[in-house]
Amino acid sequence: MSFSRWLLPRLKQVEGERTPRSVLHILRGKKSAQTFQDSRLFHLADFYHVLPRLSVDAFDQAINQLKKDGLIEEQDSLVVMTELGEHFCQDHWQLELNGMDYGAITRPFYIRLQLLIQSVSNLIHNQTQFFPITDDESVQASIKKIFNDYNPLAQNGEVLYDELNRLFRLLNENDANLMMLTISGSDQIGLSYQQIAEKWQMDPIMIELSVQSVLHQWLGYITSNPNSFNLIKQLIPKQDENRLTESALLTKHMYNRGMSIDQIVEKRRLKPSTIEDHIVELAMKEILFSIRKFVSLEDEKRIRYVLEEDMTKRLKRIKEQLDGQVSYFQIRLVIARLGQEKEAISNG
Amino acid sequence: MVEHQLEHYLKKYFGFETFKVGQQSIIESVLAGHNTLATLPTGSGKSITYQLPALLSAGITIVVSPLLSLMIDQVKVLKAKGIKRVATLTSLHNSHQKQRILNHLSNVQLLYCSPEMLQQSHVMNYLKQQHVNYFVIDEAHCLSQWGHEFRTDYLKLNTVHRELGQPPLLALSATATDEVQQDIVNHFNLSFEKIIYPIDRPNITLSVRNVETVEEKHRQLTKLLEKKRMPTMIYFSSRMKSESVCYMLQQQFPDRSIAFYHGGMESEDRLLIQQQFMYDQLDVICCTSAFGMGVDKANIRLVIHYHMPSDLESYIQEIGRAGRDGRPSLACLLYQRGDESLPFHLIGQELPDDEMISAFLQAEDLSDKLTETQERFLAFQAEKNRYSSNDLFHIIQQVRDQRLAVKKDSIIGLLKWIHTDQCRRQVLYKKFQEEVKTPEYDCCDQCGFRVDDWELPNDVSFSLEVNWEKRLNELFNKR
Ligand SMILES: Nc1ncnc2c1ncn2[C@@H]1O[C@H](COP(=O)(O)OP(=O)(O)OP(=O)(O)O)[C@@H](O)[C@H]1O
Ligand SMILES: [Mg+2]
Ligand SMILES: [Zn+2]
Repeated sequence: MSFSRWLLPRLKQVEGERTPRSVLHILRGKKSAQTFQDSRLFHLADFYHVLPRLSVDAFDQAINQLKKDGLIEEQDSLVVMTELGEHFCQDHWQLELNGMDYGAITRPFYIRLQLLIQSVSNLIHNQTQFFPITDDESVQASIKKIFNDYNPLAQNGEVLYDELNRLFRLLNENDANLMMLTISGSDQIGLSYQQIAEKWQMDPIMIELSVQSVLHQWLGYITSNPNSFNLIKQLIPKQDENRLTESALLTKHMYNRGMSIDQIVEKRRLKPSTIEDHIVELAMKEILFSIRKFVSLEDEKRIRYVLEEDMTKRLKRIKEQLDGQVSYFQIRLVIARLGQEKEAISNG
Repeated sequence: MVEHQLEHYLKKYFGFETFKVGQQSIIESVLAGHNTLATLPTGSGKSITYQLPALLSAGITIVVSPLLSLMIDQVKVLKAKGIKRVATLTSLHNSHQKQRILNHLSNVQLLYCSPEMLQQSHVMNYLKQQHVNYFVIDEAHCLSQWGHEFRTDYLKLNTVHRELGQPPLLALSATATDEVQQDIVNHFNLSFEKIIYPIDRPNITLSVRNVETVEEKHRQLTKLLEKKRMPTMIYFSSRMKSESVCYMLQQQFPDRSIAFYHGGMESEDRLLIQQQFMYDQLDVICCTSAFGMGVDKANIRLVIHYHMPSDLESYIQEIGRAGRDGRPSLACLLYQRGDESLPFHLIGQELPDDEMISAFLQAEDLSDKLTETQERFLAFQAEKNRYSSNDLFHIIQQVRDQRLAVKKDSIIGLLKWIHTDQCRRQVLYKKFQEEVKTPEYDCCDQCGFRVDDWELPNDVSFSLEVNWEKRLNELFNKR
């Protein structure tokens, strides 16, 4: 399958609403509120940040191909499916991506994993002279630390061997072979996506997506079974989310997967007010978090208007002033947003 | 130091039993504190002539090298050998990393520096506080405007050397003519011990194939590769061509592994390709000159030039990747009439035209109109002639024309070599030395060598393991 055909169902999601480029931004994981919001609005969150290095050229080429094949058109610069295009919109390519949760940490995790395997494999074979697959000194330092803290060479690397074995068994044969081809060790050096693509007569971007999908599956499995992966879990970078409370983080993950507040309440068996607190926390701490789902633009403007007169007003007064047409939750969200904007300004 | 003692350390640090030709006399000269200017052929082990003294002396040895990738490779090799007190200082570091290195200089025995780093007074202030035992200039021909790779930022090294208290100097090159040697000596205005070894490589057979058309060039290429599976480099002057010919060869030789390498690729992919080649996992690499300098693979048997380089020195450097294990190897240049237009075109891009010079002097914004080398050239000339009373435009124009003439002459020099009817070995090394060693295998096509008869002894074969489970067991040595 070519990248352009894979792209087709993603474009359909934004049909008539957005330009093709909006999908590029999602795939690249652009850090803007607009892109972030789009990926949720159009159910493309799984694909957020899955191809961070995708070039504009490669993307445009795929779009042009689709136009040439008569599968899409652009109307007022918005994507529109042709009748033929509709026929090809089924997703035949089974990828298990979860970009919203893992997009940002996949690359560092992958490079560390590769360097750990390469180092352990070479040292087990008594090859102390080898060239690390990455020149990045911070990655090298983090692996050095793992060698100090966890002695991955014990029993000829049994722990790593066992953890890897279980991870590879999660995959289908094809994916497992593909993934292993990218790994370097004492016996052979990994292949680049380009080379695997040449070998298997495929599109290099599809190879990259397959690798991403494997990594996301692994990350999901490791984080939900952390006790079974004591060594490899050390390679997962800490998300930049430690500022969020543990419980709010969980809510965020569920919300990002498209669950509503009610659904989260039910699933987590918590009070609605607790989940609302989490959402307020997100609005306060995460610049990319959009409150639009809870407060319409119209309402937000009205609340802001009242607030700007006097920030110190009690919630009750504000609510009264707005004739009780907005909820406390909505007011708190707007306040959270305002507070965050202030902080952003004062931090330069 | 007595001879057997030096050999003891050679073994201890590098694992070699004996010195190669020339190494010991250079090392002794350096250890005795002489300023030394030395030439040795490509692949003859020049690096060790400063690495060993650095490890044997108190203080820090500074090595100036023109190419980032070359420095990084050298440091990797040393670290892999367990020699850890080495570092690089280059523009690849951010200011934080740089400062960390500067703060720990007393722990470093060998510091690889790019020349522009030594222009920063901040860096120099730290270096001046160290005891610099030796100051080394690798690829020292970059200092000379007669050299093929003249680098303006090398021209301030005399000042740097003085500021560091004039520690013993070692200048190394595989391609320094008399003129270039004289330039180096004049630049520092010091007395040098010259240790000049002939630079010809007797295990490399030389040949040129004249072709009429591109199709014929491709046929010759195929014929060369058909012979046998062996580590092969093919040099191109264009990134695009390196890719397209690579794809063509992949079609023709489905059971060989063939890849391309050029400066436009992601750095991680470049690393992978380079390592695969090192591990004999790739048979053929289609590359630009971004690959080459610093590549130290022992068993490259065949170096093909799809495009001609722009001078004899580059050619000597590039074929110098072949046969570093001393075994028979072949260098073959494919020439089609008109091929020289590419290098002529490229030198045009290296130097500014009149319009650029005057725009630059009027401080117009030229940021995306100049190539990097054009910009460097202009900046350097403008600064150098700042106080000159003559018209700056004409001075720069003159220097530019001089450089252009040198470059054109170089291309013509290579063309003459291509068209010569005399022994190619004699002609290739003529401006470096009087005589060449007796070739160890076939000499060249002018001396009766026929590419079609070429026989090769060795056979490297590698088969890629695709099954993940077998691979996993191999990685962990379980069978
Ligand atoms: N005494 C020795 N015995 C055996 N091998 C050696 C010895 N000294 C150096 N070598 C090996 O020779 C190879 C070439 O060395 P090096 O890269 O220093 O060459 P060079 O002269 O700098 O070549 P170039 O001009 O291409 O840069 C290296 O692999 C090095 O390890
Ligand atoms: Mg060298
Ligand atoms: Zn000859």
